[in-house]
Amino acid sequence: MKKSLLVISMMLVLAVAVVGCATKGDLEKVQSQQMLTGAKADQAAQDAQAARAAADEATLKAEAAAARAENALKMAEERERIADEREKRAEEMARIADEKAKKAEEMFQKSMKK
Amino acid sequence: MRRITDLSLLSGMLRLIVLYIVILSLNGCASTKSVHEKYQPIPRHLEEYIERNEFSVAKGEDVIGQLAFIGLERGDSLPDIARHFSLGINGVTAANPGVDIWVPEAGERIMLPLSFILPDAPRSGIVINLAAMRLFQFKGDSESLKVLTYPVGVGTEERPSPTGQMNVWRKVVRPTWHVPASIAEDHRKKGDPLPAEVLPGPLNPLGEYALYLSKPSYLVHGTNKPASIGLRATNGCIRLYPEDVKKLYENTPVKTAVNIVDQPYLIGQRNGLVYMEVHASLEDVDDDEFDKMYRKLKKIEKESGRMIDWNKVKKVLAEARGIPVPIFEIRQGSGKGVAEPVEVRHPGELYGRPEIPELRADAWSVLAADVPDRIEAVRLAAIINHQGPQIPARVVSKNASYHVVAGPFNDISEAKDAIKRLKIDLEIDGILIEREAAKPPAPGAVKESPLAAEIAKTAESINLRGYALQIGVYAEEKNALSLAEKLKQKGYEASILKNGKKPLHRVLIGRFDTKKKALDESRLILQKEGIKSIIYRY
Repeated sequence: MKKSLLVISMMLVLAVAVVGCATKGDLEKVQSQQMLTGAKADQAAQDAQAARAAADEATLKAEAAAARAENALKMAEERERIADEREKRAEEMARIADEKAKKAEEMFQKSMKK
Repeated sequence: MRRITDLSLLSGMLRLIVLYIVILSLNGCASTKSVHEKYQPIPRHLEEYIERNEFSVAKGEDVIGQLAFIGLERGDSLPDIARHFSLGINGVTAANPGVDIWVPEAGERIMLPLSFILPDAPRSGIVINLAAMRLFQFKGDSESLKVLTYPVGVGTEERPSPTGQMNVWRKVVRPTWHVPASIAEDHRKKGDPLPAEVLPGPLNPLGEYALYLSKPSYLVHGTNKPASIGLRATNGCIRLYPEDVKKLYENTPVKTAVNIVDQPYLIGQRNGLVYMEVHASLEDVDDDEFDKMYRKLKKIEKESGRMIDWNKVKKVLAEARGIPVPIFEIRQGSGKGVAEPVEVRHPGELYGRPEIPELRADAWSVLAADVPDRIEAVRLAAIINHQGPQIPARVVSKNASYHVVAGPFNDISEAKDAIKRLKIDLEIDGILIEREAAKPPAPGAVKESPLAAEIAKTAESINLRGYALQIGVYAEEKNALSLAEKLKQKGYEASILKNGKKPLHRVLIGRFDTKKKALDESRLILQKEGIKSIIYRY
């Protein structure tokens, strides 16, 4: 009886012990999970790298756009300055032309005296 | 249910869009209409003739004539228009502020101020209003009064025309001008000494007819400077256009009364309306005359029992356009209406316009100016043309500049005389352009080809001022011609310049304003043709 109990106990202990041990399938499963996790980590790392690259690129593009905008602004200002200068020059030319016409008229009136 | 709601929303939006389009198209219609109203020529009747000198004066009325408009043509100048319509240049410029006197735009419509308020003076004999620069000659009695009117030139500020009552003391055809000491002194200072007397002819400033006034040294006379009518340019005498002084001379007996007044503010009536005509700017107010005008208007206001629109009066004073402007109805509704201005057809040929003969290679000419601006050149040429006596001048365009060339002159002394006049009268330093020497063809000489003639023509125009490239120099003309023709065939603007004591024939290319341009062309020809050239300044 005692023996039987011992055997049963041992069997139970064994059974419990066996239950605690992993099977091959379990191991494979764990391994595949590990691989998957690794792959995911790699992917995440790659993604992060790509994101950094994209962010860097976006920063560069933004900087380039800002530079272009600044350049465009400068060019617009330059164009405005040139237009202003042209306008001033045209005004100056008109003023000179008016003065010349006035001088010519004065000269003419003087020449009409006896 | 949702669909029904959507449809109703859509239909509402559609309605809005349709309404918006309708409004927009209506706006479009309105703007098109306004454009059409602005630019569509108004169909109008063009008068072939308008009276300019002789008018009837209705009893109790003071305004004569009618305002008119005319469209300018290319080449017109205001002094030419003024003379054709017997107006002074003062009248035309005051009536048309902002219009270029010498180079107005073709198609521009200008006013001919052919309506006048008679001066406030007895209507008999001759009345001259210095402010309006206009002479009025009254004929007939108060029942059938007629007035002949002409524009005049008057004295300067330094030597003004006299005012007051005088009469015609004597009349002379083809008068001799006995130069007064003061004028002789002025001319001597200018480096243009005058003889003690100037005989009749083109140089005589009195023209062909003179009416000597009882006030010593003052005359009403013609002129050899018609463009001065409407200017303060005399030494106190009264000048008329040659065609007007002839009529005045014929119509005026000795002892005719001459009343010279100076009335810049004129008030007059016609058809129940009060008109105002102003000939003085606000900077040049004549206090006495201004007070007189004010008192007259106050009297009209008092007698009519109605208020004058003084803002209108202020406007007429500020504008000072020298034309009668209606300012007041004597009685409510008494004005029978303002006489509408008429449109006059351009006569094509303007009376008295200076004629400009063609330049000739065998005549002398004078380069009066070389300017980059066409309008400046045209203005200067017009001013030179309107000198008295006339100095013919025209604009010759060459490359990017405009030459004002005076001439042709038959001999060198005429040309030199023109240079002197340009200097004294207009402060212009003229450059003599030599004429092409005419000589009979030498026996066996090469017959001049059309191309050679063209080259000679180019040489004439080149004979002004600037730089050219000298490709070769020959004693024999035929050798120069041969090279010039070859160059011409290659597309170069070749010419031959003959000069020097022992005549040399220079084959030249082009005409350049600056030495740099000539050098650039020289390098180009060397690269392209391998031809060396030197810069020639002429």
